[in-house]
Amino acid sequence: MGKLAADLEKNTINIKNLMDSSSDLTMKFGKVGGRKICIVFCEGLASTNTMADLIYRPLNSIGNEKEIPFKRLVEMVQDELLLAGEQVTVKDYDQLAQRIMSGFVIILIDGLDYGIGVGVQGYQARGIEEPSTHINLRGSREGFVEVIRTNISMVRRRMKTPDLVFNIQTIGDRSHTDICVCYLRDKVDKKLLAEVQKRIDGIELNTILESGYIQPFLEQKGDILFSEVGVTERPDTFAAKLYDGRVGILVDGTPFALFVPHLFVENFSTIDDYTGKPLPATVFRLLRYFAFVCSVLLPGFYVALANFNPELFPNSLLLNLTASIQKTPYPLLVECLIIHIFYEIMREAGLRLPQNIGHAVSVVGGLVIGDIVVSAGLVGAPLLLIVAISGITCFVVPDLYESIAVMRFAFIMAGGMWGIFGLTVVGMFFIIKVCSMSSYGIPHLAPVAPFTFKAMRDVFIHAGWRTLAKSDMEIQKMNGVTIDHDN
Amino acid sequence: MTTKTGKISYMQLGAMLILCRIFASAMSFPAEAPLFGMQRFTVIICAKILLAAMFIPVFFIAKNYGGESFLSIAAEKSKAMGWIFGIIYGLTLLSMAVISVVKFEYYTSSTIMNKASALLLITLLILVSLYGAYKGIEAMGRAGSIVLVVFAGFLILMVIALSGKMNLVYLYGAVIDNSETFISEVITELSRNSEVLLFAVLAEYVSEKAHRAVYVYIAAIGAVILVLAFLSITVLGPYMDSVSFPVYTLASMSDIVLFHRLDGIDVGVWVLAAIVKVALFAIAFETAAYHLCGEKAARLAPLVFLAATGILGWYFSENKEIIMYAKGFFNTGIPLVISGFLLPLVSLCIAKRRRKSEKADLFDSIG
Repeated sequence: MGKLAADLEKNTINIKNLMDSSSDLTMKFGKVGGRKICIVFCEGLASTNTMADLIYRPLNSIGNEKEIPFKRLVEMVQDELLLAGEQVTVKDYDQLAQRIMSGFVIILIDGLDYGIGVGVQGYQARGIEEPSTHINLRGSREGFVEVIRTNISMVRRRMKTPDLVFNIQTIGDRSHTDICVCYLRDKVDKKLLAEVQKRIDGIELNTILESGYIQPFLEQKGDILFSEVGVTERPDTFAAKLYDGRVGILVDGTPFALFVPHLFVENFSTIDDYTGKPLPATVFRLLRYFAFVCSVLLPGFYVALANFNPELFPNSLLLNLTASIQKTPYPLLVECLIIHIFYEIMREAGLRLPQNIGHAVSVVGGLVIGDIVVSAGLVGAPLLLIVAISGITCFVVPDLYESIAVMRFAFIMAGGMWGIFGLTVVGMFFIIKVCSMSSYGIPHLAPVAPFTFKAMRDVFIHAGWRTLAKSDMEIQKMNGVTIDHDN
Repeated sequence: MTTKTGKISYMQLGAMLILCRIFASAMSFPAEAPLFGMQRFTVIICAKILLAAMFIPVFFIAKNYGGESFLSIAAEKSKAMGWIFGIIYGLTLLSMAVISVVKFEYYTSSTIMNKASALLLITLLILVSLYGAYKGIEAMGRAGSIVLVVFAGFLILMVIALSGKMNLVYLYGAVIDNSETFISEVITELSRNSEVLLFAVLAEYVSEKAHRAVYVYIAAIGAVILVLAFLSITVLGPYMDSVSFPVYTLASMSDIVLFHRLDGIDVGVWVLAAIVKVALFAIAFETAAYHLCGEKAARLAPLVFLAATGILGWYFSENKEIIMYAKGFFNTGIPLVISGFLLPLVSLCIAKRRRKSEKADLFDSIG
């Protein structure tokens, strides 16, 4: 619609037209220093208390007893009376609309061809709570919230250094969502930062409601199974990632922050590893790797062995397995697939329902149905045990849940159709897939493949802070990293 | 110049070559039953010394002319020479790949996949290898390192499981009573090292110090094969010549806590190694095609190469007597010596002469 005019009436009509007289658009007309003014804001987005303190009271103090010259009035309003943290000049209608929808109040003065914007955001938002994902035993209980500025403050509170830079930008043609690119100036690789910015600039979405919307644009094309972008709800984890030289992205409207690059091995470490003793941390980390392998391979391996090579089971186990397999009516592959599909359905049901009902679903699904299908002879007890173990173990690595579920199905199919040979072929396919992934020039499997000895102190083991404190291990210093030409 | 920008480290190349070589050992045909007793160790050590000698031309090309291969040097000298070298090299690669696939099919169908059709086994192998070849040398380098770690774990597990079954009485004196058999064993052992062909071309992908992959390869392979031979001799003793696949037999004799037998893991390891090996053959072929035909043709090269390998592999697996004849020829080591030693030697001489003339030109221009 173009630029604001010097005529207040024209401006207000245009604003109403622009927003189709939307109900939340509020326009308050008045007179200050003998001149007509209009205060424009969006209801519910601006704090009325702050408006009273920062805008109404100073403007009222000018009064209307005597007429003030136009130039002097503008000078008073703009430079002397309004002392807000955020004050901007708005010159066109698009900018004006965007500002009022971000919780700004725009003061229009008759005769002035621009508006004076004051940030008085005061919308209702969820308070800081414990994160719903990545629960920890020790350490901060704070999780990110939906308001980007609160999230920025949470990160800043943890890294009080001038090298921490926040760069707020707006993306999405319609949603005009604020995002914030965060990095440590002295740690981040400049080429990595430039590449992240290039990818953000390339986002062609109209509406961004969650960080998951922009995540695919930060990943390489064709990565449909594993993500090269890390997601966290925890400000402490986010700050730790920035300290490693990564680039973080906060998105307004979601508590889930992104960081790049994200390595495969990071899925296996938790914040508790860094707050506890090194030896237990190492043991539990190794357990997580073991749980991942169990979760992915166990059902497929069981089906493969039972179908093709039962002689590989120890004799005593073999007798029990044979007895249970003979009692069930379906082939083992079909049985395994059915029970896994039902398991996934029950998980989905438990996840989407209100928490109390979700518990009921778990009890009904896990105990009642499980018990009945075994006693009815529809499913063998060993298979149910295998499914239960693989189901529990996959929650040990929650970030990889979706990938594990898909891989598990692939392994069950391969194991059921082609035995150990099939398992290995499919396994190699996934190994090659992960090995070929490289985000921003950093191999996804680093520092394992390519191998970086120094980084091993915090991969399979946790060497403890005394060792880790001796020297930093920035992500771009690992072997095989080619940020220069693998973007 | 290479077809892909991907670079690997010399350790990754060494790891892949080690896997390829161990795979060849594990897949040995029944007719290849070796000498046992201490003679076997002598055979292995002699073969490794000869192997080191065979690596000399490709080693010096990698050391002194980093980023180049014997094919690129030949193609640069003359297009015709490049083509001749390329065709000989390509045919040798294809033959080696087909033999590997047939051996693999024979091994798998003789061990745990008795009922599986050759077509299925070969097709799955070729498909995943093709995927690996298209993902490139970087992906295969990383995957190869992981597979080598899996193999190392398997070997340690096997050594622990078999420690109680070893009988050192089978390690009797190394008196070589039949020189003819001894020489033929050494040549057979040497002919299993098709890795010289892979190194000859893949060294150009190594970011720096590619020649060090040869040190890693020869040292590690010597040690691993000696360990495997030690296990085979001390556990199987004179029965070695009656088993088809000694490593598989050793694995099936292993009994360790949770695992009743390790032969399932054994098959898994060799399937992984087979994929790495076949994918490497395809990448080597692609690189050779790049030097001779350019980038566009090179993109299709892995597909063509693996399709041919799969079809021929399937055909020969159904007609094993033909492949036995072919293998007899390859066991003489002649194709390997031509493609892995003589052709690179010629290229090395060309490269040396080229450098000499470049130096002379430089002096002339300064003068």
